Amino acid sequence: MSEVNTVETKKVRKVHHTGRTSQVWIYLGKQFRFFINENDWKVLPMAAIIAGLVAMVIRKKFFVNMEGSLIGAFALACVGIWNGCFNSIQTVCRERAIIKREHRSGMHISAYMAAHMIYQFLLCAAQTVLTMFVMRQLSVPIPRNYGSGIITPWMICDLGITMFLITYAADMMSLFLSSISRTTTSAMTLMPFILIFQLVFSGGIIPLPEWSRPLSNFTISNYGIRALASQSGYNELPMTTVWNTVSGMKSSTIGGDFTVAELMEKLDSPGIEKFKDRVVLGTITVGDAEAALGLEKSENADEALTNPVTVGQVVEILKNSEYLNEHRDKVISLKTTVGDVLDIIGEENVKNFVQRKTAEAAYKPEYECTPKNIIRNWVMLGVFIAVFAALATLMLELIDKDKR
Amino acid sequence: MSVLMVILNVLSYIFLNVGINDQWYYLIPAVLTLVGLWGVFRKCGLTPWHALIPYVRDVRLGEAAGMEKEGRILGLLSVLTSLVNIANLFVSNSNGLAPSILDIAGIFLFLLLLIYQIRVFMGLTEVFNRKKSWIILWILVEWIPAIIWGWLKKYQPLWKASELKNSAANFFSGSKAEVMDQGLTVNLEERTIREFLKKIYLLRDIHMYIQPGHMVLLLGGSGAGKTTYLNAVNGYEKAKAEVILNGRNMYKEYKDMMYDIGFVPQQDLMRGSDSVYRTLMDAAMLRLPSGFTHAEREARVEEVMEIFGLTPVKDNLVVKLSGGQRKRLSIAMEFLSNPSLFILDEPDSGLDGVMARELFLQLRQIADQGKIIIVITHTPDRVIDLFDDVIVLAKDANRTGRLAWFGPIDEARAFFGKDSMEEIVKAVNREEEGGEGRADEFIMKYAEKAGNMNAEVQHV
Repeated sequence: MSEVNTVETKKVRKVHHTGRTSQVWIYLGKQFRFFINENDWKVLPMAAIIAGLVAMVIRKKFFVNMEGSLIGAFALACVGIWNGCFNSIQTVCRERAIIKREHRSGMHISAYMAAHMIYQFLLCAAQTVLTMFVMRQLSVPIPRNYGSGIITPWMICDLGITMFLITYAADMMSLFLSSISRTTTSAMTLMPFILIFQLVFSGGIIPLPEWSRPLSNFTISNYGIRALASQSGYNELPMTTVWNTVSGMKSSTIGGDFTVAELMEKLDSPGIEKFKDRVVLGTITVGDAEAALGLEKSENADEALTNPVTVGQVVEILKNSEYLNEHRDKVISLKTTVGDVLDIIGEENVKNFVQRKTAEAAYKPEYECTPKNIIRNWVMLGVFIAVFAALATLMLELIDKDKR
Repeated sequence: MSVLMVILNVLSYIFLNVGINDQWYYLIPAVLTLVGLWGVFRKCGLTPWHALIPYVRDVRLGEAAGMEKEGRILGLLSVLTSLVNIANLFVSNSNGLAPSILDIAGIFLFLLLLIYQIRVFMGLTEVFNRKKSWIILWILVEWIPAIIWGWLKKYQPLWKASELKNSAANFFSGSKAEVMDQGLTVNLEERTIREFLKKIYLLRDIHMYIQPGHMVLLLGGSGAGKTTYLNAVNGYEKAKAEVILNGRNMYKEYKDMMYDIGFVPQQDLMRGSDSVYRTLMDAAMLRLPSGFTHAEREARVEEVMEIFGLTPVKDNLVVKLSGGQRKRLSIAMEFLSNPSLFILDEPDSGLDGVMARELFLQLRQIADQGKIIIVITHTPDRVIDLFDDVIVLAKDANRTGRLAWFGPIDEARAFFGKDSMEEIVKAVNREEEGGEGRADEFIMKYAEKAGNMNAEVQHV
């Protein structure tokens, strides 16, 4: 067997070729030509249509009550994630073989990815502007006045920044998926799983079991919903579901048939026992009697006619009543409506009470409407953008290992 | 359930894929299947008693069917199915999620098992040259076809798995090509892939030295590894090889040499949304040195468009070009940097005879400038006069691409005893592909010749 005479590596004067920055411009040009010639522009009207559909659903309650704000935040986060995912899920994998060919002809992956990031940035920004415009036109009650914003002077700008960050983060996530998928088919097979994960584990609408809650920290939707719910003032809004349910039951009949014996047994219940010292009938003075009879106030008007009567005394009277004991089997019918009860207690009182108490119960510190909280969520979305962009670039650097 | 019954059940699941808790008559077909497979393995030249060893029989069945990878997966799926069945014995009465999860896993495995069984049985029908409808019987009542194919004389395989052991697959030239200061030296030991834990050889033992200015035809039947070889030569898909171009190792120094190598792949890998001019200008930006001015780049692009007849369509989008125009554009992109080595995979596909001839004439002119050109074409005889050398790749019995010839065209004709290139391809193609099935003969003959040639070179 002969020995191979490997020739020593020759020293050759290095010839420089186009650098990364110039290559970014080459690929940006290709992206924009693709946008015009290959109908990539369709994502813009699609974004407007999606925004319109969602706006029609959320416009009555977003910024109005807790439930509406949370549903609105969830729906808007979904819009952002959906737009972002569809922008770039196929962009890399559809031309993977071309990328490999060009990479082996001198193309820098970092330049290619930077061009994608710039192009997708502009695409996401355009989609966000369209989304916010459609929301505004369809009368979603976003505060419009100067000073309504938390970070910027206008609330619509604050919401726009959040929507943009959600969309761009989802876009970079899809870019990463596209860069690890060999074919468009595998990318499109992978995407539903990612979307379902993002929506189910967002922790916004669907209650999660204890063990799965940490997973929501790894979703874009979680931070998006938090930022949007905070901006909509979730914690300061009333909760209306419980009151609406009660209000809707106004015509419902409550009550039933009871025997005297059943009612008398209730007199020994711990509930009654707890209130035995409560006064049900205060002291009646001579002045009270004179006023009731329409007489002039006399000198001894402050003289007490009766002592105060407590719950315990009334119970004792009822329990010792001969009449009641003789008629223990007598049936009493008690029937009324929820509306009547509300009238007796005062509908407005009940409404305020129910809404206040349910809102207190639904309070969430993560939806606190403070600049610090909102910026924290924006930063987290920014981290997603940076991490996915870096991962996408790293994965694509391995493209030379692709086999047919 | 007693401990003895559990043990018997486990053993039954392992050996027969049937639990003895199932009705006893299920055991009879299971045993008959083993008897049938014993016969099938014997006919295919495999060790018959391997039919009795659980999981191994699945792997061997794959080998008998000429589907090794599927056989190995089938073996693994059988192991997993047995494990799930055995686990079910222990958890079937328990509460909680475990039985449900095992049921889901069982259904999933059953579906996979079915798919891979169908694949293996399809291979088996090909080996025994029988109709595909037999697959239904194999799936539903395995023991019947197993007994028929295993024990009736009428049912014989077209080839035996054991034949692989005594063929050119184990014969190597033991020589390597010389490395020169100029020209291309390829010493490819092997190009492999891993398929389900097994190393598959796609190419093996291919050594050659191509002189500068030579235009080389790469010939071989379908699946012989022509594209794989080209991809290995230019490092597109690396092999265990040493590829030296003009004294520089292409694998190790590719970054510095990439502009000196032009590779035109089989598919037209270009963006349809760019115009012809834009595609070439962008390619020029990537491939030409940064010292080129914009005007110089433009001039080079205009020149290349003129050479490849693309000037009339310079403003057309790539997506609107005809197949031939696209192919020429793909070649033009690589030609921009005037590479020393030009590798083209079927550049004439989609071209009519006249256009193909013109294209090869252009390539000949490029070669005459001292460049090396390696080309795959499926219509070699109409342009064979333009080539200097021919490489003939052929599949050995292991279906590995091997070198059956490298050298001048006239010597190739004499070596194979054929007048045309198409006849040479036919000679090395397998019989079931309509060929003469003489690949092993020529692989061994060439390996011996190459060994002698090498000895002569050493002697000199």
